[in-house]
Amino acid sequence: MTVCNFFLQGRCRYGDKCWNEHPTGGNRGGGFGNRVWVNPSQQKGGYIQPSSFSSHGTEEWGRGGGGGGGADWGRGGGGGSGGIIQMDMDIWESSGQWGFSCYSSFKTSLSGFTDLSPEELRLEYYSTRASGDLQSYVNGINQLLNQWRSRIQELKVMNPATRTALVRERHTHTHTHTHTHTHTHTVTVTINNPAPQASSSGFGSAAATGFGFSTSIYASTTASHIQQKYMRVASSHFLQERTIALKYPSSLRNTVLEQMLLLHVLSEYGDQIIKSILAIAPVLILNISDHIGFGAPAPAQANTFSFAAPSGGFGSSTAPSSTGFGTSSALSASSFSFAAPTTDKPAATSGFGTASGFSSTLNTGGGFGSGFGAEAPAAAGSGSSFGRATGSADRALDSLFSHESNMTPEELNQFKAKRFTLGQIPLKPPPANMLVV
Amino acid sequence: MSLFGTTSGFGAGGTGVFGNATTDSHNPMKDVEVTSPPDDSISCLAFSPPTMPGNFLIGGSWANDVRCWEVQDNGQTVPKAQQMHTGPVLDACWSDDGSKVFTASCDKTAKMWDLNSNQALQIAQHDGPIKSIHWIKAPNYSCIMTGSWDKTLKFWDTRSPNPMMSLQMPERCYCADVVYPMAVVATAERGLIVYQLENQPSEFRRIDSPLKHQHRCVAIFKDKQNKPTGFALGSIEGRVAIHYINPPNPAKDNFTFKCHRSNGTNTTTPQDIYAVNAISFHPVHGTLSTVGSDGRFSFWDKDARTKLKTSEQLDQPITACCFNHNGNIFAYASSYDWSKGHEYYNPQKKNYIFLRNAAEELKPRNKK
Repeated sequence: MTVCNFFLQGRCRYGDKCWNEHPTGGNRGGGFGNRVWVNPSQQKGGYIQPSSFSSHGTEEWGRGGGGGGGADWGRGGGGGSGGIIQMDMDIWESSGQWGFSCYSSFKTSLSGFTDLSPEELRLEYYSTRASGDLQSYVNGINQLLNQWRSRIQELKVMNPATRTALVRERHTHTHTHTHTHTHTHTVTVTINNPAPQASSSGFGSAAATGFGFSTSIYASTTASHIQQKYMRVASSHFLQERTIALKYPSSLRNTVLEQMLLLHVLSEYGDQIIKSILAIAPVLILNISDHIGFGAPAPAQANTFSFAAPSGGFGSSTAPSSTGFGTSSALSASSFSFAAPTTDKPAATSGFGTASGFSSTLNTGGGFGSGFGAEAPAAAGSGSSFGRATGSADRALDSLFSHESNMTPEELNQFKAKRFTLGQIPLKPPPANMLVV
Repeated sequence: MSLFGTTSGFGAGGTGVFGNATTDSHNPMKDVEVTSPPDDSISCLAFSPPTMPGNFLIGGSWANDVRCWEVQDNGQTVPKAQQMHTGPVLDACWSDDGSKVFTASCDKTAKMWDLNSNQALQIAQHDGPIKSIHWIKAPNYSCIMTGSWDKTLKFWDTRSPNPMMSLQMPERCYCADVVYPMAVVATAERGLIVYQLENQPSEFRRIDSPLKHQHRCVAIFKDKQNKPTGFALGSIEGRVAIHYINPPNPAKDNFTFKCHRSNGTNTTTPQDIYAVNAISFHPVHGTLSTVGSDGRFSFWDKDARTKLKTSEQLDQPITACCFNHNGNIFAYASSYDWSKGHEYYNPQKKNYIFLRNAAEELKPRNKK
């Protein structure tokens, strides 16, 4: 039997005929007169008392289970945390109040709500009216409305997944907006269609500089763990665009781990941005090849993607640059059969089909496993036997190998010999043309 | 399709509140109507400071204009002058000597309007619409403070095109108030920052918002010694929080109250909850007024924690309010505030500014 909320306030109009329980010794005469003034800190340890109308809000006129959400009222704040949120959602939905507002409970902001003032929407309307395209405004508003409604529904229903997400949010850094640290690196991805917003997951302190990872990382760490540990994802959306900013320590720049992080996070967002993933795929592969010393990867590879936004950052070893990726530019179908990366293995392993020009050597998983240490540039010189990349390896070879004229005769002899003589091992790399493949 | 629910919207004709189809409920309080009101919603109202003789009222509107009226002692209003921006005007304020009016607009600029010469000069530039503008008069400096949706708070010497100072905020500025030496800014995502203005403006404290929803309006109040001591913060959820900066007993002294809701406390139907659009304090009595999207204004005594008066319901939301320098006149503007979205926007509907005698109604209740 639910406890009658109104009785607890001293104003149940049904009295003995009430269908709900009137506990004896409960608060009576809880102060009708000055109900208006609520001192938040006197209730439930400092939280604002929810409106007393919620429990009756969704019932039929008159009679009805007055208890509803009222069971939580007057029982102390601890166990009722879910209950208060649900009551607030009920009120919010039924009261006709402004929906594009943030919401917080127990001092933490709940994610999933966009904060937009009426003036901002009005300005948007006026601007689009001036440009003649009101339909896009209306569509945008409808999308936002649907997001709001579904979020409210989620919180009202409060299934276990939502609850754990909320608890996680509460325990971690609660600000969902970005703040920039000078040592983090930002990649911004602009998405055309707003997907249901991923709740901002917990972030550890992203301050890990000097992140030296070893090969064991790949064995033991899943990409999602890495994501939680290092990345700070914030999304803002207004109308039809949605931007996700990924932040992670600069020490990860130009590393394979960075590619994995991007892959994993982007893959989370589903169909809408599968195009971006495809776009990144060749970059990743190219970059991976950089690290293992394929030399300047033929930039021509990048040309198979009609990929508008970023400038020539693809051929080089810079990470996907911070310009928006502009998914609206349709990518011409790549020759990759890109399976959504779910594993923690570097993308080099299975599933990439014929990455043109890279197939044979890429897929030698054995050679890579060890060579994939963090010391990325150094990996190039490590003993794994990869031959020259097709063609254009010469430029890179200059940096990897010495020139013959730089060698002393002793060194040349050492290289020519079948085996090195202890004590006379050259300290310079051999000339390229002396390599035996 | 209504935007947020099925409450009775406005603009459904002259029926509804008073049950009589021909009653025009645009002025149920029978207050003085200001002549030549703006053609679109009024976003801000401000009366001239005491340094100027007489009462002059300025109002900015979504029709890109700012208008100035002289309010004579017999209640007559005379339109005096007007200035234009290239975007809707969101806020306006007077300089302390009453010779200049500063206006802030969605066109990302703020202008200084010299009333004597009727010239307006641009004095500020932001990267986004400027939501709030205030004049700061300190012993050692004077400047303009502008808060914008570009998440910055900038301070301008009107003679220079570059800001004297620029402070970063966590989110877009939604409302602000200044009473030297204190300034309060409320931002999106329930941000609340207090600045101290002595010597030079600096952030004093970030406060955990006492409210659960979006901040809409803020107003600073003073103590008996005329020093700013706290502020009132209104949200879209029909609630106002009274917050003291350094109270002797925060748990007891700070509180919130519900306002601008329908249905009283004794029915079983869900309440309609309206946003609080503006708050202003009576300069003499210290009592406050709130105006809301429900088309009502209310007067409150925050020390006695009681309501003094609630008006009848107007047929449009009330978007702005202010008191004149001696507290005799209360001005409020009746126009659409976009609380129900674009469907309820009727460009043909007339907007009003009303003036009411406020000397008696805002006297504080004696505490029991």
